Amino acid sequence: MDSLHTINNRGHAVYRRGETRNRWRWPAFSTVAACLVYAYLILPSLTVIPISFSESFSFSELSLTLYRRLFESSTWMTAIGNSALVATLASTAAVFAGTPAAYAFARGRFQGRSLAQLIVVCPLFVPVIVIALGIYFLGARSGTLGSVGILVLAHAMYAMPFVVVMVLSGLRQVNPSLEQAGYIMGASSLRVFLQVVLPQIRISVIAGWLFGFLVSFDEVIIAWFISGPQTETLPVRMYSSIMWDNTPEIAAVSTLLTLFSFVICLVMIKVGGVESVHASGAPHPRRDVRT
Amino acid sequence: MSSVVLTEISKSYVDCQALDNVSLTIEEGEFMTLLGASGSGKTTLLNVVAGMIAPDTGSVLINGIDMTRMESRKRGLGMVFQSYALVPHMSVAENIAFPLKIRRMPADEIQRRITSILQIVQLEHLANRKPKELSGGQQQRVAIARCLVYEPPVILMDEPLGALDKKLRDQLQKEIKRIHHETKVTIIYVTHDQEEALFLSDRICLMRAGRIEQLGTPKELYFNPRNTFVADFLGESNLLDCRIQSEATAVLANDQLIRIAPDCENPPATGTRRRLMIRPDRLRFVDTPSTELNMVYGTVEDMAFIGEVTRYSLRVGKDKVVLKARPTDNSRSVLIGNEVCVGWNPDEALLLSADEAAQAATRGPFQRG
Repeated sequence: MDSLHTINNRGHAVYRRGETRNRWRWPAFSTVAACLVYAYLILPSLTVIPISFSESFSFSELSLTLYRRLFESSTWMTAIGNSALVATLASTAAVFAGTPAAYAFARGRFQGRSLAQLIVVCPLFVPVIVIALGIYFLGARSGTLGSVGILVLAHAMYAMPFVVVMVLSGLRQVNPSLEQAGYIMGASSLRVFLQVVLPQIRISVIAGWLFGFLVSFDEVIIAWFISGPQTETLPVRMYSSIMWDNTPEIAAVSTLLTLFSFVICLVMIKVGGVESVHASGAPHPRRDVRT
Repeated sequence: MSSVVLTEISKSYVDCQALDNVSLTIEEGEFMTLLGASGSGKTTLLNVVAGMIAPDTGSVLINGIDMTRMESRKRGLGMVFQSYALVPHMSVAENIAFPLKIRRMPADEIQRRITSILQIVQLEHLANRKPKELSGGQQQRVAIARCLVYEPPVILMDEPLGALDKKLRDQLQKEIKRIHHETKVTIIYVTHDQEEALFLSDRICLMRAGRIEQLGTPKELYFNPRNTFVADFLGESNLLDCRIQSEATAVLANDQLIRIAPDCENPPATGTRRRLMIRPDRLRFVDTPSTELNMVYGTVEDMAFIGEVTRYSLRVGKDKVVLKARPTDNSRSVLIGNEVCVGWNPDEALLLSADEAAQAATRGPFQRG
């Protein structure tokens, strides 16, 4: 509390530090407000954790029963497997389509570039329920509802804007004269992309893939519409569980899912932080001795 | 054989004419500098040669082949950028090997060339470093090596020293000059720094507003500028209005008669207005009047010690005049506010036609008071 307090009142830091050592002071209003907002944001995610360590929905003594029941249940395990498969394939497809798209948006000079960019980021703005309904109609017409293929395609589309945004931000760090240098040295566009550009944005591409994976893994609305009994994904299973079965294992699943997302976020923050320091293509002369 | 022949190149953008009917021939082995302020079209012209900008009209011949519409990767040129443009995830040796691998050279040949080129740029000991681990000057030397190694007929340099500090810039200028001397490669060099241009170039092409203002050797441009713009761009100059009286005399703005060096080739007509250019280092303080010299009287307004010389700002009538002299040149000390007599040898002054546009945009020391 002391450190927060002194930072929030930098102007009087020295004076106040001397005082707080001796007697209690009310924390600054901004500190209290910030803590309340943190609690507001994080509390819903945390409530399931204690429940997951009880016997059923009610709090009792600490136990891992729910986790055991979860791992013994074939429906839950199938759902987790389905989700992992769909998310992996969808995210990979999104990266293969989204990375070249982002490169074209960053460097290309062609007619209708803004329109193309708008179309790609469309899924971010169109209500998901509308997309889901559209895919449902298309799936019903083509008779592909309930297949893994349509789920992968739908989730790849849904994840692609995230990949494009991530890769675009990575490309902003790449010095365009590097590519020009490549062309003048005689390299083809493909070679320049694969050997000069891609290694520099690889962190963004990996982050984009992780993001896409998470987006697909968490997506419930589209999957609810188009998945079948064989292809039920984890969020769909959880939703049905709440609606119909009311099985307490859902608390354990939720806890694991939160933990999983948290780990992926941590990884992304870590690599993202590394990227902003190292991936810069701009010259920064240093140690200008002895040249 | 001429290395690069540019014929009547024009390029215009929505809001400006970047290149206006530019024709320029660069000889094989020549060091040609495109000099000009920003917006003069020098970089556009370089990019036209590189193939990164397609001209509206005109043609680009490189080694006798018309490359006007050829993709830049097929032109076989080399280019050095201000930002070095080294591939950050490749080591120095890998960067230099990159253009050779594109050309599918055998590995032992690549190794041999890397070794020899690193010797030329004196970076043998840093072959395995990443560009980030090098200083700016070292990085730019790697970039130059990466160009030299595949022996392109022409190397383009786009303000290669722009990101370096003064001392490094001086060192690398010498280095570039040495490398050009040793390799005899044709270089087209873009800069806005007139000192750099004077030091490095075989010939300078001074550009303004998409046109070539003057083309010539550094000495020609410095000692024989075609107009006041050129005189002003290359070094400091004093420009005095005058009217031609006869073949050997002219009248200054204050009606003072002065002697001028007769121009046999192109004598100016009597009565025409000209501007008399005198370099600051050609002016000197005069203690005892001499018939050899033209002399004017003025007041010292300011003086500044700038290293080897002291720079005096004088007011002569309505004009400001700059004089540079070694502090030791005069035993007599000149102080601010002193009335002084300054003189010059008529042969060391040059008559220029008044350049209206340049007068409007003058950046030099000469301003009408």
